[in-house]
Amino acid sequence: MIGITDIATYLPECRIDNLGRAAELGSTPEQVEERIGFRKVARIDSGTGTLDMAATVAKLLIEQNKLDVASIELLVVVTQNPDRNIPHLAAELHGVLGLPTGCACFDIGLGCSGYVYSLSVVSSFMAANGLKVGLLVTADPYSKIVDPPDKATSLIFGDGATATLLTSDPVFELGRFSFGTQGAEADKLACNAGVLHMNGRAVFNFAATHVPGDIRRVVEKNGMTMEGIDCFVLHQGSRFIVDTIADRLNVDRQKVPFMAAEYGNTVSSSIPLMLSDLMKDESKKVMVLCGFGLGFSWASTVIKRKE
Amino acid sequence: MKVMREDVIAAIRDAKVVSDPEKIRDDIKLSDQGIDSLGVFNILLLLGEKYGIEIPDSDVDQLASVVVIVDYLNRRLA
Repeated sequence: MIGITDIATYLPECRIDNLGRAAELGSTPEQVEERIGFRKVARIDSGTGTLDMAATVAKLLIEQNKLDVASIELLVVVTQNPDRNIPHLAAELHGVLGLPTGCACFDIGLGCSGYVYSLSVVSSFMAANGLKVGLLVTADPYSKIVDPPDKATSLIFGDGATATLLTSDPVFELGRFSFGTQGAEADKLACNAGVLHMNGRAVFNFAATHVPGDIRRVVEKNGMTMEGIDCFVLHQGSRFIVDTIADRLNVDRQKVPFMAAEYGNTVSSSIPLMLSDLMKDESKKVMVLCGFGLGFSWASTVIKRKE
Repeated sequence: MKVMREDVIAAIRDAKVVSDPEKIRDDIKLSDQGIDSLGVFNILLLLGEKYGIEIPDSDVDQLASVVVIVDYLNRRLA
């Protein structure tokens, strides 16, 4: 069965201090710390592009697993902010990494639900085509579209990238998935004329209303109970959203960690950034992954550590 | 069904936005009593769910205190 074998992560060194600039953005250090949750947001410099981020993290994954690039049969990139629209970023990354010509490559244009959606797409694609080694890269620098004076987005989004190795000999096996879309609300979090606009209340209402029910459904779909889940790995939209979902699930907040305080909401990279750390904790045997955000779109699954 | 002050205080308690909801003053802005805009979003979501109504963004700014919220809900439910 195809599953997650390893994850590499990349966060740029530069951080913007949200506590120091809270007042100029109409917030307070207390609100930043306790509600928004991101003390800092990670920022790429002007000379770093999406392909650079994707290549850095993919090379790291290849290096730390001593992968023979000739063995890589699939490369998928999740991004909505490539350096250019044509060609697809996965093809450019294929060239940079020197992958074999027989390697399948494509992009997936999803945001915060993108990683979980893509786990399903990649594992299904690999199973259907008899592939054994696949790379799933997330690289979506929202700093390219965030308007710096906009409190609704500027204090939230950070830049980061991840690369996940999926193989037929995984550390975590993937369970069944659940997906959803509320397209009528799609305009509430959208990029118009190159600038990201977000209706924070609409995003909050969507997440608080739809996500807890979807998590309960996916747990049941996988024959589990809520008590049997060691950790709920939620997209790090904000501390307030993560805590609200934990409370609505009636789950101890310690089981629903907020881990992005030092780098921000990294969109499709938020879940694999957490997972790369959580995987090292052997006590975490069964985890729920749930990505949710623009679209409005959500996806959930249960992953189990292979015995 | 008439909405009472206690119903709004219950929503504030459930939203976990202040340590002591019982001390919330009815006629003073929630924002002046330690409840920020995110907290108000959660309180209004809980009340909207409880009473089966959707509170539009255009109404949110005016819903600044307990007494105003009680009055608003009773008008919407009339």
